[in-house]
Amino acid sequence: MPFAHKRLALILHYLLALAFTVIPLAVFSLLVRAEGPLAALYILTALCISCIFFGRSIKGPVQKLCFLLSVLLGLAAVCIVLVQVNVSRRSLAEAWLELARSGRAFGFFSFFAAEIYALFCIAQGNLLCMKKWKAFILCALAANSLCAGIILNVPALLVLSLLSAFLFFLLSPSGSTDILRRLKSVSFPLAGGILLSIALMLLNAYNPGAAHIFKTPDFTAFFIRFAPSFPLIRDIPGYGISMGEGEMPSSVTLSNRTLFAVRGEPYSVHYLSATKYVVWNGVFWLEDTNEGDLLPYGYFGDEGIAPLPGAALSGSTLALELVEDFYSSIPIELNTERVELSSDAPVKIKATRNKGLRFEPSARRGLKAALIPGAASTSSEDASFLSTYANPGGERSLRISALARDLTADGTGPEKDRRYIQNLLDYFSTGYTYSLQAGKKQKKESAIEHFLFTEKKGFCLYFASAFVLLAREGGIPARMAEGFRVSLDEKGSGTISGNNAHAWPEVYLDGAWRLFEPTPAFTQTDPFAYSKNSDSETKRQLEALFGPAPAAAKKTGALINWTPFFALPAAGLALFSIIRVLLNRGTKKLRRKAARLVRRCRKKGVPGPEITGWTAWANAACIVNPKADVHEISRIMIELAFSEKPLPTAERIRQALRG
Amino acid sequence: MRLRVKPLALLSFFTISFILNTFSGLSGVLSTLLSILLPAVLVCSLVQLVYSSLSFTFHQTFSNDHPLKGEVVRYELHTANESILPVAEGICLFSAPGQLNAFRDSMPLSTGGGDSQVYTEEIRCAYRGTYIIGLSLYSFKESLGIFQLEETIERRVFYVFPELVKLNSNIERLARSSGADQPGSAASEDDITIFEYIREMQAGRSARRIAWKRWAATGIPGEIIHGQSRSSALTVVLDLWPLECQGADRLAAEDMAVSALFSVLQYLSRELIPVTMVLGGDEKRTLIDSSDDFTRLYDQSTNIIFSDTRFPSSAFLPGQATLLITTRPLIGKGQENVRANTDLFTAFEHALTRGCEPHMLICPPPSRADEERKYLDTLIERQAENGGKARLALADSRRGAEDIINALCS
Repeated sequence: MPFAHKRLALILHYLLALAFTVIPLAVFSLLVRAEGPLAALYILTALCISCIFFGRSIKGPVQKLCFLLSVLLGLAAVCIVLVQVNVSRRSLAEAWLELARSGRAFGFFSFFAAEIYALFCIAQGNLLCMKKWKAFILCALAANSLCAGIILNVPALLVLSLLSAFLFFLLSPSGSTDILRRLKSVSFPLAGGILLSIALMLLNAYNPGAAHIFKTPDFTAFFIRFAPSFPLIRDIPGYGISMGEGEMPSSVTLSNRTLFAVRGEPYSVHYLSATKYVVWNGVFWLEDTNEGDLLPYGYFGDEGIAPLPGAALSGSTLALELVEDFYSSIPIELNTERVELSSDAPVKIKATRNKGLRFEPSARRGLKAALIPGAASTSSEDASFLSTYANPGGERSLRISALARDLTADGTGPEKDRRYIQNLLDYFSTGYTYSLQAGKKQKKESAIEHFLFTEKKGFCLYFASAFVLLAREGGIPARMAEGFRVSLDEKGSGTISGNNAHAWPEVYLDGAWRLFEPTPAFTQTDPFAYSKNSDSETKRQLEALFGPAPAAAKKTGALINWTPFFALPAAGLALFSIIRVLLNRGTKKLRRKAARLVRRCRKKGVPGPEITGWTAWANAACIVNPKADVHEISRIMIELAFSEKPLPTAERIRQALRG
Repeated sequence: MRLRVKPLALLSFFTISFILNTFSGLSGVLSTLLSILLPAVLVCSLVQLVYSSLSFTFHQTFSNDHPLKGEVVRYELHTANESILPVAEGICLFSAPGQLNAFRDSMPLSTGGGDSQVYTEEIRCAYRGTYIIGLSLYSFKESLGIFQLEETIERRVFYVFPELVKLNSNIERLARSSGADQPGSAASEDDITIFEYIREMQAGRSARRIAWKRWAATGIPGEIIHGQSRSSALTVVLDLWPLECQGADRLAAEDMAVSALFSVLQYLSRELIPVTMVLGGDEKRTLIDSSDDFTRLYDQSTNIIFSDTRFPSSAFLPGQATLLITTRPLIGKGQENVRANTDLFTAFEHALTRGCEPHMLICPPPSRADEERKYLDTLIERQAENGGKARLALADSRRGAEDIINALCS
C-alpha cells in the first residue's frame, strides 16, 4: 500500500475510533441532561482514546509517550470513577433512576452516570483501535444494553447484555480462534458461575436487609473529610452518611451541601421533620407506619412564593426552595396546616402530617414550597392508639426504668407530666457531651444504655432516643422525629444542609404533640460548651450552624493543614513508581536473570562483564554454560545499556527470559 | 508451577465487577444476578484452572539420543487430560530446534474431558551445533484471561559434532614442507636443554648423562634426566570470519571449515604429531599432542562461533608451518571489504614475497564456491610465479565433507 494511502487509512481509523467513543458519550450526556464539567469529560475521553490509538499505531518515541500517557490516563479515569462509585449513595442512585425512568433525569448524578458510561466507551474504543471489529460490536452491545437495561429497567436488555458479554468472551481476542474448543473450555466456569450466583442469590433472599451480596469497603468517611460538599455522598435523608446501618449509627458524617434555601420570620427557629419513629425494638427505631392525617396542599404560579394565590404569606409561613438537583420529600413543621407548591412539582404526591410531602419520582431543583402553619394541633387521640407511643418497646431495660423512677416528679395528672419532662431536660443539660462520634457499644448493652450510663456522649439521635424512652417509662406517649433544624438570620433567610440534620422527641402533652429539645448544644447560649475542643467533626458542624467557636477563632491563624505536605510527596512518589515500573517493564526480570548468570559463570572462573565487557563475557560464558542463551542476553543487555532506539522489544525480552 | 497475572485484565475485571456490584438490585433480579455473576465465573474459572493443571499429563520421546550430523530426530509428544470435565484452554510451546528446521512452535491443547493428543515432528540435524528439541513450556489460561498457570519443562539438548573425515598420510607433508621438526621423531625426544631432575646412576646407562659435579661432591654417581621437547609441527589457524550470508549457505561453509580443522587435528594427534590450534584473530595457542587433547577439544567444538572479524594474522608469521582454514572471501567486496581489515588475497601476496605464506584451505559458502575457485586459481598462478610451495586448496561444501580429502591430501 502506498505511503499516502497508509496515512489516509490511519487517519480514517483514528477518526472512526474517536467518533465511536466520543459521540455515544455526548448522546448519552444529552439524553440524561448531565450537568458538570462535561467539556473536561469529553476532552479526557478523547485524549485517552487518542493516546491508546497512537500508542498502538505509530512507531518511534511518540509511541512510548502515548502508551505511557494512555496507561496513566486510563488508571486515573478508572480510579476517579471507582472512588465516586464507592462513595455515591444508593438512595441517591435509586432516586435518580426513578427520574431517569420518567425521562426527567438531570444534574450531577447524570454527569456521574456519564462518567461510568465514558469508561465503557473507552473500553470499546480500545477494541476499535486494535481493529477487533467483532469484539467491538459485542462489547458495545453488552455495555449499551447493560446501561439501557439498568436505567430503563428493561430485563430483556439485561439479558441481551449478558448474551453479548458471553459471545464477547467466546470470541475473546486473547482466546483461541477455535470456537468449539473455547466453548468447551468456558462451559464449566460459565455453568458453574450461573449456578453459584443463583445459590448466592437464594441465600441472600433470607437476608433482605442487605442490598449487595458482596460488601465492598466504604471509603466515604475518609472522602468526606476532603470534599464534604461532594454531591454524591449525601444520602437521601439529606444529611450525609451514617455508620452502622441496621442498628443505631455509632457516628454520622454530615454533608456541607445545601439542600433547601429557606425564608421565613427573622431569627426564628424551625424543626422540619419528614420521618417519625415510634417502635423501639431494643436495637434501632422502626419508622412509624401511621402516616397521620392527609395534609392539604395546593399550587401557586411560577412567579414566586409571595403573594400566594388564595392565601397571603403570613409572617410565620416558611418558604422552602429546593437547591439540590433532586429530592424525594419536603419536610414539614409540627404545626404545618397546609402546603403550597410551585407548578413544577411532580404529579404524584403523598402529603401526610407525619411524613410531610413525598414525591414519586423525586422533585427537581427549583421546586418551591410554602409551609403554612395553623394553630397548635390539639387532637384527642384515642387511648389504645396512644398506648403504642407509651410503650418503651423491646426488652425493657431495668437501668433505664430505674433512671426514670429517679427522675419522676411528685404530683398527679398533666402537671406531674410537665414536671417530669422538665426533669428530663435538666438531666440531659448536665454531664453529657455532644459529639458526632457516639462510640462503640458493648455487646451486652443497648446503644441507649451505653449512651446514658457508659459513654454519656452522642449526637441528637441519642439524646432524642433516650428522651423518648425515658418519657415512655414515665407513662407519657412520645415519638422521635427526624429531619432538619434551621435557624433563620436577621433577614429571615437560611439554608438547610447536612449540618442541619437533627432528631428530636415529640411528646403528647396536654392533648397535643409538642416537640422538645434535649440536645444541650442546641439549647444553651454557648453550643460549644458541650463538645470537646479536639472533636473536629462536631466543631465543624456547630461552626456551620452557629458561627466560629470563640476559642477556635483565635487559633485559626495558627492552624496549619498538614495534609498537602504529606499527600503531595506521596502522590508524586506513587506517580514516579508507576512511571518507573512502566519504563522498566520486562527488563527488570532480564537484568535479574543476567545477574544470576554472571554470578554462576563467575564461580566457574569467567570474569564478569564489568571487567571484560558483555561480548567477551558471552563468548567465555557460553563455553562454561552452553545451555543458557548467553549471547541473546548479552546482546539485549548491550542494547539496554548503550543503544539509542529502538530498544529491544518485549517479545525478544520474553523469549530471552524463556530461553 | 508458576502463576502469571495479567494486571490490565485484572484491573478491568475489578472495575467491571465493582460497577456491576453497585448496580445490584437497581433493576430487578437480573441486575443482582449480573452483579455476582462475574466474580462467580472467576471463582469457577480458577477451580477449573487448578484441576486442568492437575489432570494434565504428557510424555515425550526422541528417536535418537545422540544424533550425528545429517541424522533426523523424530520427536513425539503425547498429552492427555485425565479429567472427565472440560479443562481450561492450554498450550504447549516447543523449543526452536534451529532456524533451518520448519516446525510448529506451539500446539493448543484439547479442552475436552479425557482427550489425548499426539504431536510429532522430525528435526533434521543437518549442521554442527546445539539442537534444543522438545517441550519447553505448557500453560493453562483461565476463561477470563486474567490468570495463567505455566510449567517450564527442562529442554533436551542434543550436541551435533562436526563430521570427521579420514585423512591419509599426505597431510603430513603440510608439516614437513615448512622445514620444521620431523613429525613423529621430533615430538617426544629428550631435549638436553630441559633439565628435570637427577637420579642415581643405573647400570647400562649412557655415561653422557652423568652428573659429574654431583658425583664429585657426594661420591655417588648420578644421572641427569632431561625433559622432552614438545615442539609443534604444524599450526592450524581457523578463521572465525562471520559470513554475510545466512542460513544453509553460511552453516555449510562453517561446518566444512570446522570439519576440516578437526579432521586434521584428529589425524595428527593420532600420529602423535604435535599441532597448535589458533582460533580467529586470537593470540591464544592450544597445543594438541595426544588423542586425549583432541577429544577434549572436539567435545567443545559446538561452541565454536564464527563471530570474530579480526584478521587471522597469526597464520602469516614467519618460521612456522601453518594451515589457515577460512570461510573468508579471498577478495572482499563492498561491506565485506570494510569489515575485513585486510584482504586475504593481498595478505597472501605479501606473505609470498616474504616467504612466509601459509597453507590455505578455503571453505566458501556454496553460493560463492565457483567465484572463489577463480580467485584461488589466480592466486595459485601468482604463487607459481613467485616460487611459493604452500598448498592452496578449496573445499566445496556442495561435494560434502569428503572434498576435504581432495583438498588437503591429493
